[in-house]
Amino acid sequence: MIKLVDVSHHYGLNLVLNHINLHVLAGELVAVMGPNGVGKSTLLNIIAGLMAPAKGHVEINGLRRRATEETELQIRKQMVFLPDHPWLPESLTGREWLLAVGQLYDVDADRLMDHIRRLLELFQLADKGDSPIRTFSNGQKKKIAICGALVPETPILILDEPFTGGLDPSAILALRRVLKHMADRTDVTVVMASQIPEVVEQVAERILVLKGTHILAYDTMDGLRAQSGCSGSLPEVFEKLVNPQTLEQIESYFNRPKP
Amino acid sequence: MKRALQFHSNAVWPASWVMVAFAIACGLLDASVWLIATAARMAPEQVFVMREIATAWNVLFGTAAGFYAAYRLVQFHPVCNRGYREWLKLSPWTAAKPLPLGPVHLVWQDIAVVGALSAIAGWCARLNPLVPAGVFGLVYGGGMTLLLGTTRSPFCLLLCFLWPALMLPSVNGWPMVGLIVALLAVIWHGYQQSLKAFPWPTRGEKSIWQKDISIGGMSNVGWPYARLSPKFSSSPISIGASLLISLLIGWWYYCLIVYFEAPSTPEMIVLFAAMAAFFRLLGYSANLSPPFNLWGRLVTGRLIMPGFDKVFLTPLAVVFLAIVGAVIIRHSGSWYAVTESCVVASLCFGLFAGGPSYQKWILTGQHRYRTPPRTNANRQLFKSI
Repeated sequence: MIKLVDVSHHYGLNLVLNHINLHVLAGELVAVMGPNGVGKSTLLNIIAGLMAPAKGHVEINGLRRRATEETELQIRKQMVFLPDHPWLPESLTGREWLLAVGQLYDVDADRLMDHIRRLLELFQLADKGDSPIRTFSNGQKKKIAICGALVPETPILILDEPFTGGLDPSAILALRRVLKHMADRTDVTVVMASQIPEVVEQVAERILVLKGTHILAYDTMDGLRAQSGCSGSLPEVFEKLVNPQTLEQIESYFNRPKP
Repeated sequence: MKRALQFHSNAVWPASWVMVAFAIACGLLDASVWLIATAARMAPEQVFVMREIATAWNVLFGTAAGFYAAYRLVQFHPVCNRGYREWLKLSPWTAAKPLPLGPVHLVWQDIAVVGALSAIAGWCARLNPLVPAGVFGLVYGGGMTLLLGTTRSPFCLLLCFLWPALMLPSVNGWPMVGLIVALLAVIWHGYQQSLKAFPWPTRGEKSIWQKDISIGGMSNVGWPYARLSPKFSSSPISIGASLLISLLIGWWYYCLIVYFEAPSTPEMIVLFAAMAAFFRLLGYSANLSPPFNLWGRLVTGRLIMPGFDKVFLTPLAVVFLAIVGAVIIRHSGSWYAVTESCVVASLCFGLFAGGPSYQKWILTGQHRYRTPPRTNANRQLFKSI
């Protein structure tokens, strides 16, 4: 369970999040959506513990983040964060790096080896797994970074834009299936920022829509439809919620009178 | 048994090529003396007493004695040789038996080697024969002190308190002899105790499985795994250890001041405190930022953020303590050496023991981790997608 209590954050004078209260139930897959620069990554960074909010606090499974050394370490053991731009050790091979990440989370050695093999096969990296990461293409680096987030098998996953960064269609399909599988499980909680509505609609149990500095909507797909009064797909519902005048703007752009 | 032990101690003889190299170096230096004497139409005795030549001879003999002492430790002490240590662990060796590759403690062969060096220095090179013996004693004793630090730290600490006393002018004659005997006794006893405690516990030793995949350390896992590591640990210094280390630094400071008859320098103490406080702050805040910047503080009116600003407390307290200490030193007159040492020890204690500990700061401080900078140096290790 993830709980944000009255979280506010600003960079200098730029208020990004204002009095955010959020409750993600254990076993849920929540997708965070919103326009660019609205604070999705900041929200995920705060949940992941990369930054302390200017106000408010975060609770993970009843433990308050950064309260004591023991609770913080306990929280860290339960959570993996995949940032938008992870930094990978270029000199290690993909397999070595995955082993190092698994060891960091004390995954059983045999289980870890087997899981790494299966992950590399799933993301079509079996041939490349034993080459240094510096020889990977951008898409392959993104794939290995996703494998790194999956290897520790923690009960909480925080993923920032996992579908961006040059993933090929088969990797998108694989990741979509992995996330769908996680959504069906009751012991894994996933909070994911994504700008791809088709994927979100398919895998997310609840969708959090950020606008301005606050939560505009936080509900299931059906709940969002009811809130927006639109029975269409997520892109339409999203536009209706976030930017109702988009369609008119498009129309007015193309219907501009000729000089 | 006696014969076997004698053979065992013969292992300490330096290799013949080392002796040949030393003889060649002596020959070259002697030849240069002869050349200088011939060129300058002087008697060789006159060249020998020249300061530069005497220094060169001293350096040569001192280096030879120092190398021999270092060789005795590096070659024969199991701490210095991992393979040897691992092999000993698997063997039926106990502290009651001699070390298989040769003794670490001093044997008659050492007296022969150092005695020979001293004799050559005194008779042939007309140097103070105590120079090679002194250098050997300092390197061997200092080395043993450091090695005891890895196996039996209380003895190392005691030795660290005893060593600087050699510099005190009041320790002369019989007190000096007594101090040297005490140093040797502590080294001997500590060494015996460390052998009895074998195999020594090793911190952070990895299993064979981990070694096989040769993962260097936590920093190897990249970002943000290293920052958000569930295994973060920084071994905080306990209050007791902080106190002992601070006392030790204060004691060394006192002995050095007395030995060099250095004048009172309260300004330097303040400078030292300011620099130490700055470096502590730098170490604590590397790759970290406050939740929001100074401008944000001013505008929001939240001038103080206790969760972040606690990192400034100890550095500020240390600088304040140094200023107060400097005032006291100025008024301490002839007792300045004692006062300065006490102030230095107090400053060190403040720096070591002052909260928050690094681990507590990293895990509970209200900061944010900075993304690794995209510099060329960084690209060598980590590369962003």
